[in-house]
Amino acid sequence: MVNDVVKRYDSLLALDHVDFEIAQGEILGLLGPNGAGKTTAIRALAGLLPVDSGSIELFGEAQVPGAMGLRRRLGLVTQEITVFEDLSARENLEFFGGLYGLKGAELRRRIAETLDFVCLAEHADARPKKYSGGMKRRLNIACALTHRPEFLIMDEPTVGIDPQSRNHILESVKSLRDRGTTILYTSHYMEEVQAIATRVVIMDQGHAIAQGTVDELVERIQYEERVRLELGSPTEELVARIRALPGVKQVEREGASLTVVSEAGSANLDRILQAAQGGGGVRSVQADKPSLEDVFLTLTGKSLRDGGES
Amino acid sequence: MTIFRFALIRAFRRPLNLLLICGLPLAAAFLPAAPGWVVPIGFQMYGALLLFGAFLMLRSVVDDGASGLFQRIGAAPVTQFRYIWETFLAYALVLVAQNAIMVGLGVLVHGERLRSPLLLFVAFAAFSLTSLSISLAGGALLRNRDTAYQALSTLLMVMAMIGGFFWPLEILSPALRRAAMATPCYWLVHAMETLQRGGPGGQFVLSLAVMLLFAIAFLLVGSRRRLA
Ligand SMILES: Nc1ncnc2c1ncn2[C@@H]1O[C@H](COP(=O)(O)OP(=O)(O)OP(=O)(O)O)[C@@H](O)[C@H]1O
Ligand SMILES: [Mg+2]
Repeated sequence: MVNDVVKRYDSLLALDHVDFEIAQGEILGLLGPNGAGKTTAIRALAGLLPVDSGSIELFGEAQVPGAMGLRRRLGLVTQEITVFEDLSARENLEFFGGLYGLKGAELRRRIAETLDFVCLAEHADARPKKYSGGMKRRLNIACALTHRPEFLIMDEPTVGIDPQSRNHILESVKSLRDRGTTILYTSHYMEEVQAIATRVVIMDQGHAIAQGTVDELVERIQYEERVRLELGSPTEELVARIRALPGVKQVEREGASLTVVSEAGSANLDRILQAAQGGGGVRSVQADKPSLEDVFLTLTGKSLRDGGES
Repeated sequence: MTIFRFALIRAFRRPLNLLLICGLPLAAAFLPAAPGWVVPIGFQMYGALLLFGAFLMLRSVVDDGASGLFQRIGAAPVTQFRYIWETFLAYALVLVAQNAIMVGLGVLVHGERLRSPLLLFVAFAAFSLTSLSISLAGGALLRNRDTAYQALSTLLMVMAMIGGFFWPLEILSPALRRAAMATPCYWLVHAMETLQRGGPGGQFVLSLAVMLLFAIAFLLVGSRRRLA
């Protein structure tokens, strides 16, 4: 639980009265463009950074830098890859597991388990400098798992890797949740958060500008429904007929394809399809459902992926 | 113990470290005594090897800081104090073991000409601690990795030169000699010369005390480093 937290770097307000809560066992997505303050929020959550005002409470205890009590229950996956390059994957896990007080047979068992979990068992004794980007990312995650944290904080764990590795990581995150781990998942990829998060907090320029489930957030924005049709031979008359349908705001024609924009909630798809019957057959239909990307765009007026002042 | 153990493992993972920790000092032990030098040359130069060996090992701490590893360590249930101390102790152990081997070899190679080997070992051990704390403090003060490397290696080189690791103290002018006294290196050479000449025990104890004071002062600075 994060209460009204403010953090300044000199004159820059990195966290401006940020508030959010994480329920036990859920995946909370923290979404925002570069410089939104995600990492700052995470560092405060992990007790790495003193905050200027407000408070952070985890498992009913206050989280402040220097307090050791909570640390055993947390796991931190850093945004940068922070593993020892001169130690093998196994040794890295041994080191971080050891920091959390694991030893002997128990430690070895957990290491084997964690290596399996991130599919690095075959490369366990190689040094990370021989690893591909995706393997390094997986090791970076693994280092936060040997001690089985109850609350796992992941700062952009999938930056710069191929889709296959990314899917693998997303699946792992879900299976961690299924085992009861609470997860804060930071990303600036909408699809990721949409796919795995129970709830989402959207940050921009130090503010938590919106939060809720994906559906709630999508409902909150006034969004138009868009249908794209590919027709055999659309006639002007047909276009006019569609334009006349209730709720339709706009119809654009580009060769044989039509884009129909209707008001939110008009449930027009059926009627549009009927009206289009005469157009030489419908070749394809594509109905866009609003996504988190659109939510973000509406809330901040900028697109997320290349957004911000990077 | 995890931190201590892995500091030891990592100390020997870099080829350059191996050369400086194992190769060069052993070679230095075999350098002959030369006219005009009070101490066998290899032993006088060994001081510089200690200085740079400590620097090379502690470089890993600066690298860890630059790569963000401290964030991760900072989030774990260990204090930064503990991290720095276990690392320091591991490296101190490496250097002190090396000191012992060095003196042992000295006795074999130079025999009677190397006086009071036990006290010589004590002086080396004290200087090992000083060397480590200098690099620790340097790493803590200079947060930028490249500046830290450049500034520290230049500083160490200058100290080694005016401190008298590469020539006998006698050839320094009085002014330079006074400047040299401000470096811990001078005091190691002074301690060695005192032992070789069978000089007064008070001078030896004084040198030892000065080296340890340097070590403590730098340690205080160095252990203030904020991990994350
Ligand atoms: N140590 C620091 N000193 C000064 N300013 C900082 C520091 N760390 C971050 N900032 C600034 O605070 C703001 C928030 O940064 P933060 O790293 O939290 O963003 P982020 O959401 O994690 O971005 P990204 O997606 O790029 O990781 C940025 O404008 C950044 O420049
Ligand atoms: Mg970040």
